[in-house]
Amino acid sequence: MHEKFFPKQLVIGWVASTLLVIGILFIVLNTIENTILNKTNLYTKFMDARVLSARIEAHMATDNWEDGLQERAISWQQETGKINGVRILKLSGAKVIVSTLEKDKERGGTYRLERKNVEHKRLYDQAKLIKSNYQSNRNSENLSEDKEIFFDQQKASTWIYLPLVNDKKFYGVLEIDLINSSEALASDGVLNTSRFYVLFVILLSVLLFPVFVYFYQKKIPYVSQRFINLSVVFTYLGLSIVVYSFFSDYTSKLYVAQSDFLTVLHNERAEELSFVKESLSSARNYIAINEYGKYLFSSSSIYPQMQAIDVGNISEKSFFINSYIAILLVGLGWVVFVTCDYASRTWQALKEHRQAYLYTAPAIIGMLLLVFFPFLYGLSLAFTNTTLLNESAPYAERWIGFDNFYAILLGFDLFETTNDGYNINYDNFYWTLFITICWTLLNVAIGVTVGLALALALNAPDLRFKAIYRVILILPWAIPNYVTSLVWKGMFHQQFGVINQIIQLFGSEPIAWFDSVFYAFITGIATNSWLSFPFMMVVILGGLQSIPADMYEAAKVEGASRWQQFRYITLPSLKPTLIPAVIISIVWTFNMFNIIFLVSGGEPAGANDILITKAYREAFEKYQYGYASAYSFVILAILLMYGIIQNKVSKATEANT
Amino acid sequence: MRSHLILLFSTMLCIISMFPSLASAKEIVVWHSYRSLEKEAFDSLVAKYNEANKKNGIRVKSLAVPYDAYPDKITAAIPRGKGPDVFIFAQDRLGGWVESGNTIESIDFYLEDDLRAKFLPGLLDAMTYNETVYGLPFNFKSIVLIYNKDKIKTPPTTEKELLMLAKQHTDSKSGRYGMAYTYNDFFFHAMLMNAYGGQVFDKRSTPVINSKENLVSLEHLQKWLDVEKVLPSEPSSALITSMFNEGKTSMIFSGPWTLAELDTTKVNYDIAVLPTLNNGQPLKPWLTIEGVYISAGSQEKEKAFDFAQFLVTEESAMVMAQKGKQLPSIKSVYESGDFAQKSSTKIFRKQFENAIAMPNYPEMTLMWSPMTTAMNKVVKKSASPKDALNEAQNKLQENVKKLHKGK
Repeated sequence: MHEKFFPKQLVIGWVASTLLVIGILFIVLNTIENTILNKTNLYTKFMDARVLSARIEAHMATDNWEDGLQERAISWQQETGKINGVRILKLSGAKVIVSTLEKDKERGGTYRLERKNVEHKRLYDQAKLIKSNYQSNRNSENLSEDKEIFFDQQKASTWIYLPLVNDKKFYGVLEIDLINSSEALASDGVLNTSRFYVLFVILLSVLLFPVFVYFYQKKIPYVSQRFINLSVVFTYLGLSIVVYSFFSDYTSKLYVAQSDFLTVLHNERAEELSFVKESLSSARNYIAINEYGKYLFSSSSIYPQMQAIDVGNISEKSFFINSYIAILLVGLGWVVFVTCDYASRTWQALKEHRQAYLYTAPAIIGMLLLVFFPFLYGLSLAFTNTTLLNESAPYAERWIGFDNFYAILLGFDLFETTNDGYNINYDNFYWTLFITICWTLLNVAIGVTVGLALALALNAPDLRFKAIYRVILILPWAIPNYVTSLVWKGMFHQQFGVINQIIQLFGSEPIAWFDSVFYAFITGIATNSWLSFPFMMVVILGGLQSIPADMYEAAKVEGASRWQQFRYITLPSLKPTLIPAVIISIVWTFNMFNIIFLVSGGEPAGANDILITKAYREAFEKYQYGYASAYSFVILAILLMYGIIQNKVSKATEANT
Repeated sequence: MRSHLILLFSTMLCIISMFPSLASAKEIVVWHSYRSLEKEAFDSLVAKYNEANKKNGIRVKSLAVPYDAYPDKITAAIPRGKGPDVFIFAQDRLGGWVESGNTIESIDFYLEDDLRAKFLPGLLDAMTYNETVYGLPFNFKSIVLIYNKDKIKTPPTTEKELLMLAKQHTDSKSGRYGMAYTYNDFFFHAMLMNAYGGQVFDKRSTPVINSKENLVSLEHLQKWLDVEKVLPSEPSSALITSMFNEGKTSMIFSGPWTLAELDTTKVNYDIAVLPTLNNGQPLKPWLTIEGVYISAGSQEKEKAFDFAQFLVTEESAMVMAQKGKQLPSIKSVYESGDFAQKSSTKIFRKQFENAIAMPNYPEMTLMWSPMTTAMNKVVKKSASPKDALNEAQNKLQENVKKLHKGK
């Protein structure tokens, strides 16, 4: 065993982790670089465009400003030398008042938008969007330029759309066709460094490998397989941390480059960029922010990225860290999969049972599409703050890491203060979990007890009309459970419900079933017990009939009482049938959406919601898709834990019998 | 050999049938959630349009989507390039669809003044979000007073008459109540709220649930419940319909959707405009307005709009009114002709004057859950109206904030 100790897994694992680290490097580096370069280059264009719109807005303040505008526009255009053409749309009346665009040559400078023209509709819709965004932007606390200024990047030029405001009133939209200039933050130097990092990691990996093997082979000859696997995993982690620190350094440099570039740019345009606000200045450095409160640049190049975080670059920075962690985790999973022998075993199984897999392929593909794809999509949602409003935003912008899970699991605000003292916060996860557990345990207990009692009764050998009773008792199970739920809901009605009418027959006051937590809980329990006992009854009845009669006869001969027969023969013999039934029924009840949703509807005030109905409400009443997704995965985790424990326990019990 | 050929042939058929787009010509797909009469009327319009446009090569195909799944299907399908070219839905989801993007096409640019002028006043506003029009109003629905003609000779026009009649017909021991409506449902309570000038949102995303007006409207409801004692407890729409059919209540507030469920063999009913409150303001229910929208993913937007325009011509509106029993959005329909002369038309038209279009902000959907809780608390007296509204206000503010945080 030790002679040929140069385990294949170790080599595969090593190669896999090296490749992975390189992969991570490339993905993250490219993303970061592209975002920063793109943003900086776009910002250059933004400044050019904003200079022009500031000029036009200044000109608007003069009398008869629309006269001779066309010639003026042409002269502006020639002055800058960067503009292919401009067009100004006055929104009221959908009228173009100036156009130096190539395609408008025949029309002349002024014309009305045409209803049948698709390009005109696009411009009009854009203007409408900018207008409504402009107005809501001015009313909101945090002004955002992304809402007002739109870029359409094309190969040769970039189209920019900005609002034009005359005397604080929205006038129309300025469309600029800007030449993609050579003046841009170059990426070459930075890219070379990233290549260096990749080489460095490969080198490190190659160098470390013999050391690694030597270490385990020579010094600890009787090393266990598991230990090797673990060490591969830890080396992977260690390597990742090293790479991460290089990364931080590298991104800092990128930010410095961006900052320096923008400083130069700003100094060139300082005169006309009157809209730039300078703030946060101190003796050593200052940060300029634009009218939208967004970070422009800082004068200091010591730790500019720190200030960037303060003002505006939070999303990029946190995206960097989060994506790194995510890829790291996926990579870790992959490394574990490969090194811990799972990969080779899977491959072996695939090779050996080729035909079997071929036959089951349609089902597997179906499962992949219908189960795993939604599952993975849901999992990816759980790490975002996706809501109705930002559904179409890029994934990176919605990413918030584990925040949803923290919010769910670390939200200990079980009590809230109101005018009349402390109240339980029914929205809290732990309250809902408590209710769910009570609900599950009580339901299963009732189901088993009632089912057992009825099964024993039906199993009595001298009972007549057995078949009829059995059919009647199975009926609740046969009716769709939402129908049953609605019937029970009606029965619990305060005035017209049959239950309160019976209570009144005995002279008591009617109960408002859905007003208090306890009574509303009872309504769910009653309905679900009604629905669940037939299943238990049928299962137990089957179990009872398989117990050989001679065991009872022998017991009788020995003088056992009825109770002793039940306790020492019936119950142990039922165990193999009862345990799986209980396991299934716990899982079913835990996620019994219909009954809670339809009978009490979580009343009062969501106190009786179980986890699954709460998740539904988060998603479809509050539109918190990301949060709801995380909620579902917490439910899954709970059930998974239960499943694993249950498995161990039932294995143990099986071993005993 | 033959069996092989058959096998081959059927396999090919299967493969071909997997590409339906290859076989069929260009179509405009319309989604709606109509059933029975409405569906028949709508389909007859589609057939008429197809007949007239045969030579242009346009074919409209209508598809009835079950109502429960409808909005979610739209939300899921259209942004991913699937789904209809044209779809019909109420205005309450409009804001959400516009905000989530790539769902509804703005039609503001197409709207000529003639077209704008065709609709009943205010309906186009319900189709407008952020000052941009996204749909053509198709029809509207509002709550009216439905009463049992055998018991109520002349329908009440004021609150005083309403309460007097209601008290006459109330006998809580035998389960009889003079009037009934789902007052615990905020959609229905809105008519009281609107009568006092209350609102849910002041301007967009600023909830004003705990305003003085809303508080007074809830206290008014409490008076009906506890002082006048003319309303049954725990009302649900099924309960109220069955009470009305069994003669256990003689006046209900509900919309045209209830009329189909009333049993004309048992009750002789009629409708009337909702009465005026003691403060001089009429009860103002929320209007739900169905609009015709162009899908943002449609490849044939021009043609889709042409069909949408066809749906709001006077002739089409007449078909939807007479065959489909709808209340069309077109002004001229209510001016002359058989339909305009019908007494029920006149009443719905009059009620329209005293109705307020339900806001179409995306935040509206967040309002239902806290408001339902508040309504239940007030109705069941587990909280004072003030506390209940304050709590709902806080909850809604928090949820609106969460919704916007992502952006």
